[in-house]
Amino acid sequence: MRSNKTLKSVAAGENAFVVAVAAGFRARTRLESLGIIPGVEVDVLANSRGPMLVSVGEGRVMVERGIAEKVLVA
Amino acid sequence: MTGEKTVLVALAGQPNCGKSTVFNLLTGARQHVANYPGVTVEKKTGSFAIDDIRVELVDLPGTYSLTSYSLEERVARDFLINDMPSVVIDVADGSNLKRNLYLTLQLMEMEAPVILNLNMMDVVERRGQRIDVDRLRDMLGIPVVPTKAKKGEGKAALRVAVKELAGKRPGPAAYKIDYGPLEPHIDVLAGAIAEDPLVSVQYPVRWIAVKLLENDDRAADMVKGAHTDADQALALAESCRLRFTEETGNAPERHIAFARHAACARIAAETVTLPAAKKRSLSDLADRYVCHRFFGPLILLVILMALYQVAIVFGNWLALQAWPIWGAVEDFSADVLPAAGFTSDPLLRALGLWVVKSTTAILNYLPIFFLLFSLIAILEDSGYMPRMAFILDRLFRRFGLHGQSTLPMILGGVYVGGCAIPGVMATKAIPDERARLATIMIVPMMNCLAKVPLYLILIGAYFADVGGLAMFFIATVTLFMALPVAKVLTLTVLKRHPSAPFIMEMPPYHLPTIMGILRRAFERIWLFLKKIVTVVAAVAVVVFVLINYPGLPDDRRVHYDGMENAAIKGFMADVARTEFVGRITRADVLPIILFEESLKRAKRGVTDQEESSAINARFQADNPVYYAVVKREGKDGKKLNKSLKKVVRTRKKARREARAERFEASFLGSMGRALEPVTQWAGFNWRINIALLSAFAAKENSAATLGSIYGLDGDQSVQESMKAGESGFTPLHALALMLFMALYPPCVPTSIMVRHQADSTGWMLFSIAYQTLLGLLVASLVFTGGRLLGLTGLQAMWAFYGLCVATTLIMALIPNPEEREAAASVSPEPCNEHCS
Repeated sequence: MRSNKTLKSVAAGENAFVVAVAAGFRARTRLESLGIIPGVEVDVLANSRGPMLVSVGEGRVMVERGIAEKVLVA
Repeated sequence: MTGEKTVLVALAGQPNCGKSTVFNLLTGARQHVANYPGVTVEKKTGSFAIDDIRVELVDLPGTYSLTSYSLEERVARDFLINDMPSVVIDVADGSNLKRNLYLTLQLMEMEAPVILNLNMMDVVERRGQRIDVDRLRDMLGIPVVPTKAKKGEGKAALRVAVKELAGKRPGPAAYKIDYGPLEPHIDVLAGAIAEDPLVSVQYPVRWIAVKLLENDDRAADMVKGAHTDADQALALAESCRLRFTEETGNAPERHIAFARHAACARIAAETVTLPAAKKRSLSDLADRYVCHRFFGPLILLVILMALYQVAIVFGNWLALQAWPIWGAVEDFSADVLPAAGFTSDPLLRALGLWVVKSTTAILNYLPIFFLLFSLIAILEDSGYMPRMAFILDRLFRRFGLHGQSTLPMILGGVYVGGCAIPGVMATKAIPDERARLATIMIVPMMNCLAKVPLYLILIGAYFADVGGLAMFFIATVTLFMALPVAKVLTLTVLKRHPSAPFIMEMPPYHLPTIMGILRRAFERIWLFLKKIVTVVAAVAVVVFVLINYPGLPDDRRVHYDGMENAAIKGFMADVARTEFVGRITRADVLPIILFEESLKRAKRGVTDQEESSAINARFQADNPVYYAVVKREGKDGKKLNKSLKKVVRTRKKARREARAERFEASFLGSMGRALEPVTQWAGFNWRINIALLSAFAAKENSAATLGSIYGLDGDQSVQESMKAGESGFTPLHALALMLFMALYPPCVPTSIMVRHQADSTGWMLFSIAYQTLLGLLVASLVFTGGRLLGLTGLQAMWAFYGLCVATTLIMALIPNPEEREAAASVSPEPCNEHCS
């Protein structure tokens, strides 16, 4: 299930299913502890030019675009 | 059971779960803030009693997890392992239980005696969620206590739970995360570790096994430190990891994280009932505007302007109202210390007054600080700070800074009038180490309140016709100097410092409570007093020595003694012609002058007629003869008063001149002269050098020192006397001086704060050195360059402004270190995301 779609390409208002997090160790552990792990569904709340804002369950997480580019989604 | 028993209780929890509210709820006012040994992470402790048990409560840093990813996580974990608290209260945001359980399960895995505190139950109810507390208790097998700490509810239940658990013997946790296909490997590894007598006593065996499989290097260190045959255990762990990866095609650490989340999700699914209709919360609704592309920055601007108005403008006014308090302290010490001499004062008086004045100069800012700290606490507690970071991150990132660098820069004085001390203090919130250091380095370059008097003098003297424009120039050019500097530092000295990716939680908005705000503001004011004021007093002594010694040469002293004798002789000649002859002797002259001064001091600020008469009566009773002279009583009193005024004038002149001479001859004066060959390129002569050197203690000094050098007390008309005293001075000189002042090294209190926040003396020295050099460079560039090109002060001003803006734009386009790395090298993990 390799996919080329990344979190960065998901528009605001849409949701996505996280497939893999291909970022470095620090970014990955950080995302994991905030609940962004393979298998969860995230809602993208904002995706303009700054960091992205996504909703995971009850939490809201800001993710910089460089990292969002490394989160593979379906 | 009698006698008092002390138990250690730790308070754990994820950020934004209301942990500090729970802490305050349990401990009340009795708390103590320090740092964890060796790190800058704040350690808050408090104590309270439950019946006959004394509880020592330690607030662990807020962490989402317990890996060794961040400093905070390591600190929390080390505390749990080394200090072995009898009870760990895990505060969880009930309205976001699933994610908060991620920490709870890790605590339980460490076999810590956990109480799960479901906090923020009020939010849970408001959002229409329901939590089955009994079911949760059964599933986890640990006590679960719901609270609404913000409303003060649940304190008793929490205390009961602590007491019960503290009395029990710790046992293995009832709930274990099922790691599925990894379980056999955990068993093998745990079995091997359990055989070792040392490790198995020091650490929970299953936890160590999981951590080793997770490839946690700190866990490996623990095993190395305790295991008799560590290499074998580590080799076994490595082979287990390899085998698992082969079997499942998945890295163990990912599998572990996934299994933990799956467990959280399972528990949450069984215990939490979400409202049927998923409506957008108020927070999300607000964020649509607050984080909006256009409205967001607009709202931010309004908030920052309000902050500036309240803290700086209103705070300044408030400081002015509070000044009489500090003035009274100064007056009091002036009365208590040994009496003044004619030309020079006794050492104890001179030194004592100097220290008191240095201290009150900084205490004067207390109202501003208090307002600032309160407003920051409001911004923090309401949850606006992460939004601010969200809006500005993109802009600041270009310069190696962080979205959260905004606040420190505002506090430092992005426009005019801030203070670098709270600015540097506020950098604590920046989660990215490199951006944090960069921010600490540039905050002192902002325009703090104390730089303003010098600006005003110079603008008044040399740019009077374009005053507004010149003020605008100096107020805004600092930002265009600071941003490129931040970028250059990021690309050079800070390059190797770890930079954290910008991944932050955006917590829902909260209504801050007044108690919470005040508590925080007072905590910070107290820290400020402790850290800064004490050191300021100590440094003042050093500066005193530097500017007063080696003192006047003997011939000059003789000269001033001559001045004194002549003045007193003249006065005594007048005395001889009045009825006071015989009643006033030579020895009375100085006491009469001091009597007049202390009468003036006593009546300062007294407007009430009755009170004024009472003071007069008191002084008259004290010494009727002196009083008669000072208050011009009778014909002779009037006559002598006139004569006395002459003596006072001579004394003032002698004191002023002696002070200036002492200054020039002092160590600092010699330094000023020695620096002249270098500073001449910036247009500074030795007199300016002295003023600038003295400003290092506190920026206000520059104006005062210039005043005393140019022969005036106070800074009201320094500009005229400066113009008269420095005939060769041009606006270009003034411009260079202003720019140097803008970049000038942080004052002593700020330097101390830099040392505290950067946790390194090296960084403090670096910040002093680079700013001095940069200031000298810029001033030389403007002065020498402007002179060579034949520019006027105003032309040089705008040429320099253009240069700074251009540099800022160019710097914005240079990629940051990791952006460059990302573009140049392939990242270590198999990834295919560069195809877009």
